[in-house]
Amino acid sequence: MIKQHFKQAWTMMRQNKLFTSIYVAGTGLSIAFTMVLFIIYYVKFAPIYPEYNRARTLVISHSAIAQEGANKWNNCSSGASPKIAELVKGLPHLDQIGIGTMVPPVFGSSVLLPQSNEQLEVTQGMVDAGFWKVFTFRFLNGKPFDEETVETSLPVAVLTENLAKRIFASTDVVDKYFRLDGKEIKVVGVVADVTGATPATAADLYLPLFYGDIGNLIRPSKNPRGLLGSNANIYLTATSEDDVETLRTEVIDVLNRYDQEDKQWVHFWMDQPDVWWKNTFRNSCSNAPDILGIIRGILYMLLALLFIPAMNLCGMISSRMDERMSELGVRKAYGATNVKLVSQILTENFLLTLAGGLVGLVLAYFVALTGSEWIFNLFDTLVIPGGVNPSFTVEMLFNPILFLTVFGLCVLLNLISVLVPTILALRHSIIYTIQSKR
Amino acid sequence: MIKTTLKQIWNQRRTNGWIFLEVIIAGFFLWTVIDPVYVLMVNTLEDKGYEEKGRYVLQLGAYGANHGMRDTTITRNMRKEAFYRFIKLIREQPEVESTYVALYSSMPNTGGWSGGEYYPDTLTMKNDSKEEKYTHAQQYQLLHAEGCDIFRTLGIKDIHTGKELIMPQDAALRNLCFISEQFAQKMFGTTEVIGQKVYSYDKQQWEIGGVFQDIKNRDYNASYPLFIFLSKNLSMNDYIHKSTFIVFRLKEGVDFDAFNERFKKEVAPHMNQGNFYFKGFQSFADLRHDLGTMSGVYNILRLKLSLAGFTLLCIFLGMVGTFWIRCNARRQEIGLMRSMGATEEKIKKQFLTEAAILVTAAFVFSLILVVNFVVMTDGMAQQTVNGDPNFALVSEWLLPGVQFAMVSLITYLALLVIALVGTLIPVRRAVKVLPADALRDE
Repeated sequence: MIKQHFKQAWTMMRQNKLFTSIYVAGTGLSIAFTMVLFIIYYVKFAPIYPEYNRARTLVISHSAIAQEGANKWNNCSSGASPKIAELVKGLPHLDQIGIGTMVPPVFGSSVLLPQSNEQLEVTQGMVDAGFWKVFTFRFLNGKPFDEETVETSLPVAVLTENLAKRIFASTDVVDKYFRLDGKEIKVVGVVADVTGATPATAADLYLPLFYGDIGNLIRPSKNPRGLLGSNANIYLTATSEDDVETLRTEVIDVLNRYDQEDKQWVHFWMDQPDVWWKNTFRNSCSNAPDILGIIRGILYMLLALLFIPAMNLCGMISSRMDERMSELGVRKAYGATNVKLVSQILTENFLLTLAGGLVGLVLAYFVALTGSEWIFNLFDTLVIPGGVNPSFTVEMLFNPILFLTVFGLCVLLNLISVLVPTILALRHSIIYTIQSKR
Repeated sequence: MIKTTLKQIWNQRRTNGWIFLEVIIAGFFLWTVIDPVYVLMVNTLEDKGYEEKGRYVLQLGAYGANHGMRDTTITRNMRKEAFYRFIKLIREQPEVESTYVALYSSMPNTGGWSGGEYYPDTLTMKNDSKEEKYTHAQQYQLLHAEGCDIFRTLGIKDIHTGKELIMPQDAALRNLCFISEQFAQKMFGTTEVIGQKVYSYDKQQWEIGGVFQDIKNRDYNASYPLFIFLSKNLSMNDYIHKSTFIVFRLKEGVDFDAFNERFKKEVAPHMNQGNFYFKGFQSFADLRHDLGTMSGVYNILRLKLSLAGFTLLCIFLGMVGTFWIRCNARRQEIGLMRSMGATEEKIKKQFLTEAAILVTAAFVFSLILVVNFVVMTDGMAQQTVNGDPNFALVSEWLLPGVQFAMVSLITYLALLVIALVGTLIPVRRAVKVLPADALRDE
């Protein structure tokens, strides 16, 4: 039966080329825009190299402080103090603690390329030993630096594959030396490249957290109790995904206790620590992100992207139903039920919707690949220029969730656009239906 | 004819209903998308108040405390002397018309913003009087250095003469300040204020040396009262090259690429002093572009314009589809009309009128939704200065009523034009059919 419906749909597609084109274009347009939106958030939220532990990771990335007695913050920073890591150590549901911050080339650090004798400005990842445990980097050679190296700020680095090739024309470079800001640095490891689409971990090279001039800015503030003044992000992984909320409560407890012991400073955590997805929306050091407002905005956009084209398709299907009234009348007269007729039309149109879905997916890929430089931060209000190139990787664009979403969208669009006009057309009596359009 | 058209619309109400509904939703959505773009455009179209072409910033690098190239024997004073040498070096290049030194990012499109409260006299200051009367303004702090002139460098005009404002040689000695037209109007209600005094919150005092045309600190923000003053103090720290900039203007007709090439070859090697080094030049156009990217303005434009394009394309496809099917269904009617002497133009006009009435009627409903949205959510886009709507002065194009009317008009026109084009394509094809053919088909 379904084969028969598809055959009929194929014949009608060939007979009504304009209808088919407009239908496919409308559906394609809707699915392309929706998929671009989906891809942006998929890359932000889903487990992507090297951030495969996102689902069980909590983040503290901003801090605000006031003197005791104040009820509002008076100093805030887009960063958190590494001292927090000391406070939360040993919590029952804590698996790993990592500290890191990616410093873009705008801060002026450069690597000497020996072949051309040129200085290459680089993004530096200032990270501690735990960072390598929270994030699952693929080491091509060597290994990460350990806690002792971080404590003593030894001049060692883990390079990305791309930078290793630019400096040494090879990735087999462990124990070799290169010059960063005029100083010799020893390579201890080489990792597979990280795209700028994962900004928490994207750098050209990784150095011990407190190394050099930039490292000095990350050191916990001299104030013995204040947790402000550092520019690091604190990543905490829970023992399992189910334990994330429990760990969050434990961390909040620790921070609150610390605040109660202190008579001089009050800290404002603005609803931190965040689960990963929530932290991607945090862009102010003084306020928690308005998650409801953000979700409302995205839903509003999604509704427009789906409903405006759906109205189009409804109109066209409605007109086409007028043309097919007598055919449907005859089928009704021979015993076809309304449910059967609706399912026939749904199946016929689903073929068109699928074709539109395919066009939309290709269009979404085209937009994503040509606009990769800006597409990841399309919704961001602060974009730091330069940095690691935010290119797409295969796992971001070709994965089952993405294909299932396209399929789901096709079903949804098909239902929205076909169901109402078809039911409206079929509510007339058999006589009326047969008589019409004669 | 209108009566016939209305009758036609009513007869086809079932298929018209869908396109009508689509235009209502699309009209509402398009309005909300166009609104913020309109605000950005109004601000962008406002005169910058300075010239961008031929203006560049010297980019310096510095060796930090832990840098391997840092000369540890160099003192703070030696660094200061080196910096002053760079200013002189730039000023004395034959291709350079003039220079100035911007302290704390005191130039357009840096992303930095500092400002404060200014008073016309000390009596109206807080604690001295219950009635506090101040003018909130942005400030540009410039380094007093020989031959430096912001007005000549940026081409900023004197409000009185309309020509470039001339900074007196003894401006720093006389402790002169320079204020924008908005500043003068806001504080004194007039621009005839040369010689009057201005006080800062800490009772520091300046004499007004000139009033200049308003300038925009950011290209996508409205202009704001601006206060310019000179400072004799160049405070040296490791990050001075990130906050203090030597700005210069090239002479008319000078080719930047040739200048840059020569400078790199002949002058730049001499700039490795005071733990500084030459990194390059950045044009004002690049600065503007970088800030547009960094502040997310280009992203807003990309997003909103693509959503507007999406909506209009949907309307276009809807109109083409609906009217194509309709024209096919009315082939015999068109044939009959043609055989009775109706011209192609007349038939086209009838269909176009039908489309126009549909769009107009639907847009009225869209507007009702928009009004609800604006009232319920305070949803009209606001202009801001440095991201803060409280700092923005209201341009006459952005008064709530004017903004609403303009955005509605732009939305309506966009919808109408797209709908008419979408209608015209199938109708043009349909009216080309010979009457005999159309009638024979029946």
